[in-house]
Amino acid sequence: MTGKERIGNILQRKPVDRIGLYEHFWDDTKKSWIQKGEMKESESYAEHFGFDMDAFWSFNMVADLDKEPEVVEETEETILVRDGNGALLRRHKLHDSTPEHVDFLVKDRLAWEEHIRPFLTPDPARIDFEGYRKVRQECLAADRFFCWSGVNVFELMHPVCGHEYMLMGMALDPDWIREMADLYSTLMINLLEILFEKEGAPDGIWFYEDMGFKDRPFMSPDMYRELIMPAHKKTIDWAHGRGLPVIMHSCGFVEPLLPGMVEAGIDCLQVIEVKAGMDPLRIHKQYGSELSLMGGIDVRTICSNEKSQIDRELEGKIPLLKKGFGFTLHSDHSIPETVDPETYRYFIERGLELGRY
Amino acid sequence: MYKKRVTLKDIAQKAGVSSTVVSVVLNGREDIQIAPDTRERVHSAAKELGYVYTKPRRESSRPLISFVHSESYDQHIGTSFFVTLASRLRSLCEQEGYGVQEIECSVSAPLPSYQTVLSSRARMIVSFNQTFTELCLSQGHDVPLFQVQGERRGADRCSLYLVDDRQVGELAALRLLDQGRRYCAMIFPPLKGRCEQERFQTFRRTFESRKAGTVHIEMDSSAHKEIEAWFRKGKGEGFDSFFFFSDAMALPALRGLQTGGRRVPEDASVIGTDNLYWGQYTSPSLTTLNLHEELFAGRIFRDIRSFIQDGSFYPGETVIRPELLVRESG
Repeated sequence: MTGKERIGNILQRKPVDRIGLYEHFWDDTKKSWIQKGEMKESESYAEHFGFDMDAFWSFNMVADLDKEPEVVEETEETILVRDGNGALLRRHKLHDSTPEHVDFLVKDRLAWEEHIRPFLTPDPARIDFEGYRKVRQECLAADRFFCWSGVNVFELMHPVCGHEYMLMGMALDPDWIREMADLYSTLMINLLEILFEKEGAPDGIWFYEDMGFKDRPFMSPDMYRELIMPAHKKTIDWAHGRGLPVIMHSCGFVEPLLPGMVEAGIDCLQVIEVKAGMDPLRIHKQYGSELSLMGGIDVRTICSNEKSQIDRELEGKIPLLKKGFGFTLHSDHSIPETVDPETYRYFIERGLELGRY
Repeated sequence: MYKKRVTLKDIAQKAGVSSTVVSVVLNGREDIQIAPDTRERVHSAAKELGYVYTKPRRESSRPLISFVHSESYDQHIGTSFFVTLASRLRSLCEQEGYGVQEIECSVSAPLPSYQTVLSSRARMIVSFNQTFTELCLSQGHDVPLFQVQGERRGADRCSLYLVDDRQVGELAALRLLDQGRRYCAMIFPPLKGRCEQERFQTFRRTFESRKAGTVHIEMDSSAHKEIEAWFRKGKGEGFDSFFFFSDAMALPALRGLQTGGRRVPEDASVIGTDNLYWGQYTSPSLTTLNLHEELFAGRIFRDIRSFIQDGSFYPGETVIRPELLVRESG
């Protein structure tokens, strides 16, 4: 089977020859692996490791596209920047990390309506047509499954007002959050229509939507259903209306939200973060007939660079997860630079060996 | 004894050529290229059959102008532009004492119309049909040719009269932007010709220059039922405005939008193109682009009269600017 056929079937839980293969990496990993002679700068991971799929992140959703990030403070290790969303974020300069949320211009509905909403137009300048075209053509030539990828509404709102003000808004001014989610979902659909009309459709849609942290989702299942799910359903229905399956990524513990996410229509859950409390076997048992899974292999075992630990993790999960033809091999987050290329190769080889049907 | 009259058809059959070729040869027309041995074959066949040569009739002092149209469906249903223009031009020509011959030319089989025009000995041709124009140009036809709309090809050998289609796109886009619209569906047929491309590209460029988005929804310009159904089913739900290649596409969409529960212009603005007569009587009345058929007719007539009076004919391009007709829909 080609990668395109395999992932296409896995997302519908139809018979395949083996489980699928895909992975995410931290930015520093490639630099390190290039230095070690494992990869070339010009190569993609998909090419290098023969992944069944690839994806391209095409949209710039920052509110004010014309605003150059304003450097407020800079040290040897960090840089504090005010971005086009009016958010003040501190980033590490020397390595990859999640930025520190220092302050936000938008703390409530009024500020949102004044500073952000007027900028949210389906401006083609938001779209990287060329990058999308390039990866789409590479996937087409290599028979890989190609996904458009980008964030959905939860991940579009918090860069504007930060998690804290967004979550307070959910409790204190739910209409504001509902309207914001609806507007972002409409904008996203508008931009997808523009992109696909000009460049052609992908094989699937990949939404990144980190809705949990360790042991807890950011919101209750009821809040998810009331405020976020309608926008998810709208974008997923739009994709399904064009015959495109939807993969949804979420870091953190989101099992309590899963009934709503499945009802919203996702076809596949990715990344199933074990260290946050997610259990792929439990999820497979409960949702395996209606949901494909990608991930759920504890990346800490790969980081150990110990084959025995990797064997134990893979042997304990893959024979069960592959039942029902809906599983794709992937770590439960991203591969860091501390993983040796040799170890990663072993992880793939052993995982796919166990994943044969 | 009664002797059957020899016809052109009899001679054509005997000589193995078409009746048109026989007519051209027997009328001594040297301006049309026909091989010498074919001419000889026609004369021999005529002689053998006993054809009596008659003196060619004197050319009428009333100059004849051929108007060559496209098929009548497009003329009457698709757009009012060509019909209105032709009607005004005919009136002007007839007032001046010129004869007008109107011919409908099939796009798929233009040759019979071409032969009819040849045999009519028209002094000028006004073509509303790009296929016919291209046939004339490819045949080296030397009668002055006036082409309305269509492509820019052949502007060195015929007189072209074009709508400023870039201006059409720009005016429509600016109007929608002024109304605060930011996401527009452009309902256009496949972008095959100059007219479609210029309207489309200028609209898109202008609209998107203000951080607004556009999508091309491709529909056949005569698929009125499909257009109505598309809108009725709410397919255009995300858009806040619609720009149509023609009013004939906009009218079924207006109905579809309203039966589908969307209010025009409160929920979405609609702008058509070419000022179809009935657009003023729809509810809401249709905002559109007036292409100024009367200006086209006046300009073409001036050039026709010039040629008849002093033989002057200047191939080239005349571009006429449209005007936005603001009504209720957008």
